[in-house]
Amino acid sequence: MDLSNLQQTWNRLEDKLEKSNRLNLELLRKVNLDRAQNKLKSLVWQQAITITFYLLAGAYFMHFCATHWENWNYVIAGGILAGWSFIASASAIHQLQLILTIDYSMPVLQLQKRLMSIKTAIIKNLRIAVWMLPFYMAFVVWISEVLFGIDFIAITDISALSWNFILSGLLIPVAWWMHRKLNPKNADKKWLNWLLQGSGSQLNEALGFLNEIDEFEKDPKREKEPRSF
Amino acid sequence: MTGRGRDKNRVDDLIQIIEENKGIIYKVVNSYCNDPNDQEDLVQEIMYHFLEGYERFDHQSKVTTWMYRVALNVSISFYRKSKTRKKYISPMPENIIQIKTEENEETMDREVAQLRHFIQNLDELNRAVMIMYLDGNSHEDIAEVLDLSESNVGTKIYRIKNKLKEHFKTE
Repeated sequence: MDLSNLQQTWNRLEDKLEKSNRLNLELLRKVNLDRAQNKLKSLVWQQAITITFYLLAGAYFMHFCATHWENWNYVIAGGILAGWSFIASASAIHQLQLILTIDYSMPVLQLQKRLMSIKTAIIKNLRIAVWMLPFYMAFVVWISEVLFGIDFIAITDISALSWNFILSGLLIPVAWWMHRKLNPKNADKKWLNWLLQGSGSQLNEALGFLNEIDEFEKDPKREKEPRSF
Repeated sequence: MTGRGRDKNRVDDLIQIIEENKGIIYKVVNSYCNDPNDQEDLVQEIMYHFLEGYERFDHQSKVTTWMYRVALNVSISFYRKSKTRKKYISPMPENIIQIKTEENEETMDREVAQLRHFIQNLDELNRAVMIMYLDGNSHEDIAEVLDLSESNVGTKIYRIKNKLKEHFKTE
């Protein structure tokens, strides 16, 4: 092939395609756009339900703090749980914002990145979840009060309490380790696939493409194109 | 003007724009999709996004830039979706495109077939660069559609053409 005539060759393809394809554009008048948006609507609903759940949980834990103001154990436990709920809701709001602002006329790399990051949001949510591990005592304190009406901290002797605090401290590096392990690179691992409800391979593919986009975006040192090419 | 009247004008404008630039759709679809049935689905999706996005198009950039962005974004996403894709096809009237498959490969001359084959073997992003380059778009336009720097576009085109050179040396 004569490379100097690439564009002419390409135009010949266009001619062939023009001859073999026929667009019936009048049919566009019949398209009902509302019906076509079901897919987006279901994603929006999913996120809206998640946000509502976390906001209600956050509000409930704030209320828990307010109604137990006289006991600092409850205030701290409720505060931690409220904080975690609000962080999770902020993450879900961010996801919803990404979904609602999908616009296929965005520059290709920007849009493809956005689509891929929506697909990988589940990993971010898991990462937020693991940071509750070191704060498990907050759950214990809250559950003890709500279910049994007892102050776990007050009734537990100092040595058992110390062990619980030590365990909490030890769980910080565990949470950090899990945070690191919940890495896009491990999406093909069985355990992560299980956590991701079987969507690991899709996620892996999405992340692979994100990496490709990053590589593609890198501006290499300019290579001069010879005029004669 | 009533909402329905505005919609009618909008669709009329869009139909005219697509009619004038339908080559963009044919080439993008043909470069990202081989199967005639899938090509029909892909055209449907592109049309849907044209219709849906045209209201927001502000005419600040060229209409062809907007068309390339939509067509490439939809095609790359379509290409990446696997078996689940069919579930999400937007409802569109059938036969929005008619593809006479028998005319495709057989009537293409060898060079065209070689070039098409080469382009279909590039990764999705380099394929987008090459389609736009071969369509005669400037580096500036390609950079705008993809969100790359012009120098980066230049380098990529240079590299792809080198690959192409090697490819045809070995054939």
